[in-house]
Amino acid sequence: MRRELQTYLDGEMSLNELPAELREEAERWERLVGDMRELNAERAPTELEQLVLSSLPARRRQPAARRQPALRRAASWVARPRTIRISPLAGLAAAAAIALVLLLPRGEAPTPQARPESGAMIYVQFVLEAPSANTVAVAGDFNDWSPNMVLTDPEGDGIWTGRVALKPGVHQYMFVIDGTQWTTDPRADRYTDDGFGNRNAVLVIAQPTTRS
Amino acid sequence: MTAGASEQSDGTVVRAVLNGNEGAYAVLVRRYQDTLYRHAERMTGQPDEAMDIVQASFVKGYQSLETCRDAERVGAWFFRITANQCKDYLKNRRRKDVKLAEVDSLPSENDDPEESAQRGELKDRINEALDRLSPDEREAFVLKHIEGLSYHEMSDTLDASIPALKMRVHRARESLQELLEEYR
Repeated sequence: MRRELQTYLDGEMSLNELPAELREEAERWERLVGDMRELNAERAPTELEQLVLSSLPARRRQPAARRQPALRRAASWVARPRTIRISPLAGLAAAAAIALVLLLPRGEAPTPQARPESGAMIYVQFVLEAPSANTVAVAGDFNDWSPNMVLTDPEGDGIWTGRVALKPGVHQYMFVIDGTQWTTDPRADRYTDDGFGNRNAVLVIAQPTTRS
Repeated sequence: MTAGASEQSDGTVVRAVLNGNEGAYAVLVRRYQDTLYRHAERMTGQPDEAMDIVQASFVKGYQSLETCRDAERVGAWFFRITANQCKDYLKNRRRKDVKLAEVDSLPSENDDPEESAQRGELKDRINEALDRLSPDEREAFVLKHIEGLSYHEMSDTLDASIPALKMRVHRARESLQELLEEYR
């Protein structure tokens, strides 16, 4: 690519200064980047704001929660209908376990008839402590076992988290560290043999309660 | 008469959040979500991934808001978080994931089907060409040509030297020559 054309595209030369034989190529560049601009949305999807606000961590959003008794924290957690915290940080482990039990109808998986007509999804927060990991993803029967649901380590403290919307029901999953290391969730409530000598974590999501 | 939240400076809103008015964070989200989403979608080529990245960026920003040194320029600070997340995503993305995600060129209700299909094909070709760039080259090209920043603005935003940024943009253009041939 000729240096004059690079200079023109850098905005440091006018079209008139550009050698005539390069002007047609310069115009093609303008058409290409014009198409690139038009192909993407100008505005964020309308649901993004709510998604962000509903996922802000509780340590800021609910600073008083630390002072609440564990049972009240569990009750408060259950009252939030769209978030289930699986394998939470150590301080919330007890609350999450209680909440999950309370959400399940006598510990059984929901029957097909019990599924919400609207196909409602439940937000599940996956958490894995992996201080030496460079990447962590979750793979399960809900994404065809593709490790493309990437968790993040927002605080750089080795606690990887990510929220995934799942249908109520029974799901199996594993974590994938650095793209290759398949790892069983050490804090799952249930496990099952995957038939290849490993254990899959089992996640049971009860249907959300509906208002009468 | 007090200024509405939408009229307050970024610094005022940031200080409100840090002082415990957590609802004020929504003001910052509304102010910057479009800019961040546009960049994330152009960097990843995937609307769903762009959503996830912007969401994660705002959460990260919320958790570390006190580390933002210049609250009046919190928008630039958010942008750097998002830009880094985009590059991390591109570095970690496997080709398999790309194939799985190439299902996003859905037509809108008002689109002519043929025109929509052509746009979908064009978008795929552009994304494939951009996917061949390194994350740094793609970022520089997107900022320079698609988002229309000057090299000075890019240098300020990315904390990189102008010669280094020019080099990335030049390399990106060289790599995109094949795509350019379609515009004859």
